[in-house]
Amino acid sequence: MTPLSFSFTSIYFLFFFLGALLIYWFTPRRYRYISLLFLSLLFIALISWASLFFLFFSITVMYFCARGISDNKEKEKEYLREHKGEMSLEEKKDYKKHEKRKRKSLLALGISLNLVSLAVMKYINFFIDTLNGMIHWGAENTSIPRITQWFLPLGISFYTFQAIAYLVDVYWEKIKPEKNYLKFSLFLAYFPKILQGPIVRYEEMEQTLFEEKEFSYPQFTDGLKRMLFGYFKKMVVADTLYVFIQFAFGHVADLSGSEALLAIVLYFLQDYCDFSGYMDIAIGLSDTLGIKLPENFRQPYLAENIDDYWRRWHITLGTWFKDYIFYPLSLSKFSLKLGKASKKLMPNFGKKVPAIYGLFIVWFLTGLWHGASWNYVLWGLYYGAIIILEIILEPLTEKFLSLTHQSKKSVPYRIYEHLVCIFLLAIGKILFMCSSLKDTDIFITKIFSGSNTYFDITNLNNQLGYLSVIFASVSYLPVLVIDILQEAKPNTTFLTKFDSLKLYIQWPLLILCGIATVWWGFYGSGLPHFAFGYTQF
Amino acid sequence: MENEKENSNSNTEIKEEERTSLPAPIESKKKRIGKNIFRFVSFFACFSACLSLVAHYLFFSLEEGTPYGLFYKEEEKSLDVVMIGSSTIRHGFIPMEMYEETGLTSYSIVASPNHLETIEIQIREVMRKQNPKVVYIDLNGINNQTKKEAPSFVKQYYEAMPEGEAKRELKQKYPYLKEQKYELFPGHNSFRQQSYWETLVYGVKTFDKGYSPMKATKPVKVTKVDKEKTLPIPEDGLNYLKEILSICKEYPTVNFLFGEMPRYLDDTISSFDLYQVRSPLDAYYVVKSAKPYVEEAGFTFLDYFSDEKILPDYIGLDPEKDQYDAEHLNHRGAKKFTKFFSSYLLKNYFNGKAPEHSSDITSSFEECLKKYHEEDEKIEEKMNGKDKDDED
Repeated sequence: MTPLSFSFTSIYFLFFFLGALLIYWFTPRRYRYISLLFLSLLFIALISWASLFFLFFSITVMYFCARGISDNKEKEKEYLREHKGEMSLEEKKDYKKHEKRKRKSLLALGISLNLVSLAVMKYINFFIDTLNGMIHWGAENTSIPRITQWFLPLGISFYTFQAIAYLVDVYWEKIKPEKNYLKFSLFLAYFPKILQGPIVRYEEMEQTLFEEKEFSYPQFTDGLKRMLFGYFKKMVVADTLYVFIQFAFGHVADLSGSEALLAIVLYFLQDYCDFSGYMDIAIGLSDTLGIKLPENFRQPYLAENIDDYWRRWHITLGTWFKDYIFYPLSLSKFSLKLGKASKKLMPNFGKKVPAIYGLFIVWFLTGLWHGASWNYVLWGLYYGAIIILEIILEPLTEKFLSLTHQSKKSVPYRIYEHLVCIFLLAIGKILFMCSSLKDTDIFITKIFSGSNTYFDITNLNNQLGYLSVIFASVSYLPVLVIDILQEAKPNTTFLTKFDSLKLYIQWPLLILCGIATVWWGFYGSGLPHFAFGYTQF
Repeated sequence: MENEKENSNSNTEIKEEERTSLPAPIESKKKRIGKNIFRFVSFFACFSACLSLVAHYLFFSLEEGTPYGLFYKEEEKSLDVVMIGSSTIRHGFIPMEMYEETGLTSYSIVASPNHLETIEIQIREVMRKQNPKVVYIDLNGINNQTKKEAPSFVKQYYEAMPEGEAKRELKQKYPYLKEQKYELFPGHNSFRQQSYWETLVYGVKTFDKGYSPMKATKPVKVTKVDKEKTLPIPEDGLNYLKEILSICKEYPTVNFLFGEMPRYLDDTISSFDLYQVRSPLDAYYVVKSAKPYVEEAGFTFLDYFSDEKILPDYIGLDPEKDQYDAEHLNHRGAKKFTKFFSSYLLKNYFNGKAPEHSSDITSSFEECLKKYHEEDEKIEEKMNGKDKDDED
């Protein structure tokens, strides 16, 4: 069984899922977390058993570091309590400083060990290539050889971030450390979220993961419905369109102008359906186990601007960067000093400098997280630059709006903002998918090139066929409709509304969705079977 | 009295309170679970029933819509020429152009790629269903195909065959065809294939007779061919070649031609088809090594790259305009090649005159020719429009 054959969309996974449900729900409540841990480890082992070593390394390091930090804090409190009145203020301060340094060391140790593991496994060849690029400026014939036969441990990008968030929260005393090693292992290894997230926090998972719950039929069936919708998005829309998209971004020079334009439009649909489809499957799967995972998407293509978009797309990654990188950086001593100095030089702009500094780092790291390549870094900085520009230009925008007697909530302005957002997203997606800057340039030129005045989709026809494209695109319409309805009524979920429909309306829709998914879901020989896009991270 | 009333009222209230505060009776919980299980099972029963109905009416084997599948829809003993090979023939030879030029009826049994194992089956099937005077066999596969990968191709071809003795014989010959693959979900992932949609929406397309036009153009750099050079044929390829030649010998009345389709070989193109293991030039040098085996068996080997009389420039191919890529001719190139090849066959194998056919076969081909002309017009428009833009 190859790794690809055990993804969420494989037949083997369906058997695993059925077995997992039976094992989990028939285990006595008190020990369910143990059976779930076993299932999670089995899931990972079936895809990549070597990844278990890295996962356990991370679990063990963070478990002991968190216990160390918490125990140290308890010890400090107890010591101060016992010696109340015996110590002077100075002595108390020194003692606290000394103990804090110990806790900080444990925090630094835990974070650095995990980051080193991530850096080595994911970025080693990236560092080598970068070093080689620098060496070549001096001596042309020397180079460090790349490491071949390397592998990326399953889910390392995701659980490393989760582990770091956990340790930092323990350090900040937001949460108490988990004393049960098995429970903590389950928090990191929980299989529905191991491949592509969401990046969960311990405080939001603690109760739902470990409480001794009863089987809930409504939650179970809602989970199945959500999974079905996720499979529909992935198999019917995403995988079909990817046949052409993969060709288009790999053979940029061969595309006509119309094909380049179609490729980016279709990529919008494919990217969203692939990633959010996975999320629906993961969240639905988790619901069948009675465990709630946080949402990771909130109708991103209905965003008003780029900033709003990134609060709707891969929400958990964005909030992680905000809470653990942006705020600590922006509120750090260095950042505040930088802000003060800038305010002296430019009073109006200066106060934004700490935020700009934080944003720059966040987007640099976001790009790097997405891929071990300077292309991705550039992609991240592209969005960072847009958001920073939005901040810088905000006073001008408001002045313009007040001069023209417009408000940000007016319909024309919102439509304009939305269109600009889509345009900027398109450029970003081209940057993301093209393998080099040269290809990006060719791709964008083709879209706008005046010589491509006729509609030529020969490559699209040869790769996929225009009828398949039409069908897959039409299949996206229900996804769009649901997103629009969800955006219009944010306080209730679409699933709740769907559940309130009569059975004679629900069942035909579910059966239709199921048949369409199954029809695409069985792969004939020679037909492509695509992994989820974000699994590579 | 009033006290008694009050007492009885309060007793009733207490009883009602007790009733509401008591845990739900166990029967209703069991009933609830039973109801849920019933709903669950009923839904899946309905779903399975609907899936079976849809599978029965809308699913069909993708293979039936392929050129080798559609071959079985041709009227028996109606073809003068049969081309057997891969995508180079599929995009490089136009049966309708041959018919229009010379009156010769033809068909291309092609797949991309067409495995040599299936070519053996196809030769026998052609002889069983037709009686062509000329069969052209593309030997491109001998440079890289292996016995190991044959089963999946044989299975595909098997699914395209109509039920009958031939299919049963094939099953006997290849035991792995007897293994029933467990299909949890029946049907094929046909939606992704253009040919499925065309068949579903437009009906079975038989007028092209296995031809599929390539409308784009990719100028190729002409790599000079070493006319003396050959490369050894890999073991599996050589075994297949010998088997194919031995099968062909069983049909002494048929003229078998072998070779590779003509085109300009561009050795500078490095990103090649996935299944190629050699550069285009080296692949040709391997196929060229088949020439002595073919001629020894008494058949003709058409060497389009070394034989002066049939070189690409002799045929009239333009490397700037007539190729889709390093492997395939585009529609323009296919027309030129077909024109040349039709005249060549008519002169050398039909004594300058196409055989007569029944009025049914003729009218069927005439109808196909009409449809082909309609499509040809659209293709020419697109290709000429593109050339004009390129010139600008």
